[in-house]
Amino acid sequence: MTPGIAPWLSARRYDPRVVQPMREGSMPARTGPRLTDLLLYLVGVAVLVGALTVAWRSMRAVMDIGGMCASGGPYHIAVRCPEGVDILLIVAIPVGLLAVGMIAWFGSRIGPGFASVAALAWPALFLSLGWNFLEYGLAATGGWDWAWLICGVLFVAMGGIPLLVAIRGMPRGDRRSSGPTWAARPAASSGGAGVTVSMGGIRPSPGLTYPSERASSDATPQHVGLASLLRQVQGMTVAEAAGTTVAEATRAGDPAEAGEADPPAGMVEQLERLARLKERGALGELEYLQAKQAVIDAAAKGGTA
Amino acid sequence: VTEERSGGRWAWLLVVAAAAAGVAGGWWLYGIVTGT
Repeated sequence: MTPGIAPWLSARRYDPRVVQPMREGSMPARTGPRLTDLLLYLVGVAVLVGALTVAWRSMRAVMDIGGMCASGGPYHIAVRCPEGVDILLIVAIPVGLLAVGMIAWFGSRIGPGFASVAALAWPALFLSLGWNFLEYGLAATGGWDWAWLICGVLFVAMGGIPLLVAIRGMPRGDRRSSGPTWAARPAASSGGAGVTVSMGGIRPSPGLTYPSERASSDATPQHVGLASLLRQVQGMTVAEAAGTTVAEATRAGDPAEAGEADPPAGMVEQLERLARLKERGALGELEYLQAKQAVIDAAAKGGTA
Repeated sequence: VTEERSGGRWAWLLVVAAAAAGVAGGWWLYGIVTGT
């Protein structure tokens, strides 16, 4: 095991000192994957790519003999399939589907972004097989083979269009990245005393980026308000570990005390968000009541928590 | 902290390595089964 990945793998899943990153409508992410999850995920990636490779080579073998072949059965066979190719094609498809399931399942367990690799199976399959159609269609004896060329164009479109749509749909920061990452950093940088874990921001370097830390050009009051709420939740989790009250932890993480500007989010909005967190189970009853009181107290003092 | 960040990158390198191993393994399996 490399020195670089060992601390990440050894991180405890439910370490109370670690804030569970949360996102609206999603389950809290874990702080670190188990080694078995990562290994099975990597096996899934290897098996999927292996199945695609087998299918790609098998298809070329069949196209080498004209594109049609048969094997077995009681009939007279004009063109026999190359030995083993029929079996390989039959086996490669379900094995590839199984591998996609492994990638999605174990990828979701080891961190945000990893499961989405499974979605690449679709463009990888159609683009690679489309390449075969185009190559053989253009290199056919006696001129272009239009049937194969049409198939090639269709396959490339089926694989390429979803891929382009997915790339264009990614946030700009994601497109510049080298892939999803997870990172930990001291929460002291945002007013707490624990460790915060990245939500799998696809940027190569940062940890959890609060909305208020984004470029000012795209920061909205909603972002700032959400940042404030996240700081509160962070304070609660730290409070659990330290045995302090939520109010104390919240005050410790108050951006106003850290010299930052007060977020302009409304009290009602914050209370609604707290209620949603409670409904999702992210906050216990006592935590919810204490946080709610902290928001009300802060509003009574003329600011926001 | 720095090690944990680099751990994420190492894991992605492992993903790429697994994909490369998949290509090699698939190529090898096809050759073994078909005798080519």
